[in-house]
Amino acid sequence: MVDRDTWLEIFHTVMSNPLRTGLTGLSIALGIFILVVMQGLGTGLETGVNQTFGDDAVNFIRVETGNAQLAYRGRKPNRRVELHNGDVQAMKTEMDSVPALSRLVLKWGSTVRYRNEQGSYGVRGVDPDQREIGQVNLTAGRFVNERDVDQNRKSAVIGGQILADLYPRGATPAAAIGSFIQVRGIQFVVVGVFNQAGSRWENRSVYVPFSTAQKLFTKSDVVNRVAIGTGDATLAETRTATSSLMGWLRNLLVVHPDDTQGVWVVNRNEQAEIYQQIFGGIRLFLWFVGMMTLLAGAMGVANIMAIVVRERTKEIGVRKALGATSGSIVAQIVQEAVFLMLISGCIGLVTGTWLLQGIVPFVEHDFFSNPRVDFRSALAALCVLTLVGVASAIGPALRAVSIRPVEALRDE
Amino acid sequence: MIKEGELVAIMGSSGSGKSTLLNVLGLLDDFDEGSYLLNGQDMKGLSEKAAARFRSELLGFVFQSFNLISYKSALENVALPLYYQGVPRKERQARAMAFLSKVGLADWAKHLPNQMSGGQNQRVAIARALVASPDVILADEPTGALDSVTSDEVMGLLKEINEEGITIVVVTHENEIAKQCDRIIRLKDGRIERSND
Repeated sequence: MVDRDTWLEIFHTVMSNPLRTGLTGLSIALGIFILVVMQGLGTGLETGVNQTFGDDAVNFIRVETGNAQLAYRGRKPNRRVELHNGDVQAMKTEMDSVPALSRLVLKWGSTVRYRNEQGSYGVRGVDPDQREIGQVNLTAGRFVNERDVDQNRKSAVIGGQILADLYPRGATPAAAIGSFIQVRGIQFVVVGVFNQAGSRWENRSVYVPFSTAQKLFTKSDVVNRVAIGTGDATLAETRTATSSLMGWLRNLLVVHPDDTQGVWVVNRNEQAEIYQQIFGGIRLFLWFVGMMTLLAGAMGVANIMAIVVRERTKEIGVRKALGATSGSIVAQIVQEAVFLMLISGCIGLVTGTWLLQGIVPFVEHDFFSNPRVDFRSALAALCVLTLVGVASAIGPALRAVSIRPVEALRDE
Repeated sequence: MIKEGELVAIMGSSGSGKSTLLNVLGLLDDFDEGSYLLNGQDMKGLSEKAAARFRSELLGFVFQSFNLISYKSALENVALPLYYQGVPRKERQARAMAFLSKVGLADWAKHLPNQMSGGQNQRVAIARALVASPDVILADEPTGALDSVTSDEVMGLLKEINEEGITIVVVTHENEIAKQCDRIIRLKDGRIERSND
């Protein structure tokens, strides 16, 4: 239907008033551009926050201790509360069934060295269950196992970033297995390599057996953290479990029931829920703003189309006198509108995407990373805009062809 | 009754119905009473599409203010009726060029209407009216916007065309122009007042 002649005719007409065409195109391009950039920034924020806070697993609860603020049963305020191996053992007994449990000893900023290369990374002493709880994704070798913990072995499972940083360029995860690294000055053998997609800190960590870490690095039986898997438990179930565990721990560690700083239990299930809500809200907001931008653009386009058609009333009369049918004229105006919208929409889409790509290297931040566009939603926006354009062109076009050429061609 | 090959002038004061008559003749407007036979065919109650086809095949228009499309060159303007007849591009260009040469504007083919004089514009418009080989040319005050020298040129051109057998109807209020035609039809209050030879 749309052959070369029609295209030439459309192109000719669209280009006949560059300023008008430019302004119409600009309003559409700008609308799509803003939509794309906003969406991109939104996803950037979401990705960034997820990378910072998100170990991918969300189905576990975490016990941590700090400084108790309130005096309680003869204990002074502002005292350090600690969790020991024995406490964790008691906790295990107390809970009916535990799908997975891992004690953790954390040493941030530990020097890890491989041959002449070294860097500062996080070291985590863990139990074998940590693999399941943290959903550690091994790319080679194995995770810390029972025997490592029982025998205080010096085995290490290193993150993908450490492999990339310290090992020769292009070293495969498999090639690192069996190599020796120095962790805080002590020699460990690499038994596994993992890679956690979309998480910045995970990949800069070394997992070592929990017992080894206590023995070599903290030289005490203090447990920094306990992670307990919640399996398929519902949010409500994990809430109940969290609060009853909290009560039990306060009692065990002699912490005032109102004290929030002495010992606390983080329910990752709940946190994940909150993040979901926050991002749901942000997404909704961005869509709202995007839709409003589109609406403003669409109204601009409708307005311009109305003016354009009005301006061309006489031309339409001439075309009719020369043998054009009303249908062919309406079709031409609609095709012009679609052509203009698609071209300028694509320009907006491309420049928006290009800007996002361009800023990527400069905006990397804890809470902002890898802004990108949901291409499908951008295309959907373009379609909506085009439909609006067509709809807004049809009205004035029909009115224009219904004007008799007699009147259109009058000179007054 | 206008015979084939005639050169007829329609005269009348403003409001006498000249333009309405021309629009009816040009199938640009429908009519309520009476009948209009074009080439022996009744034109009453014609559909949009049929009217557009007759316009494109049988009729050519020349207007007072030329009504060329401002962003198209002389050649493109002349070729436009052929576009609506579905003539292929190459042939369109060639035929348009032939008619531009006929009105003496072959060298101006690439010029836009605002780069040419009024007389040249009207010649382009005449070429455009001729390009589809119509049987009838309807000219609405073809010299209304031109000085007398240019007017004579344009009338001369129309007479030449008429001599080739094309019927021409000229609406005018200038006696000078009307006198050059074979016959004058005078209108008053929408009725034919007098038709003399």
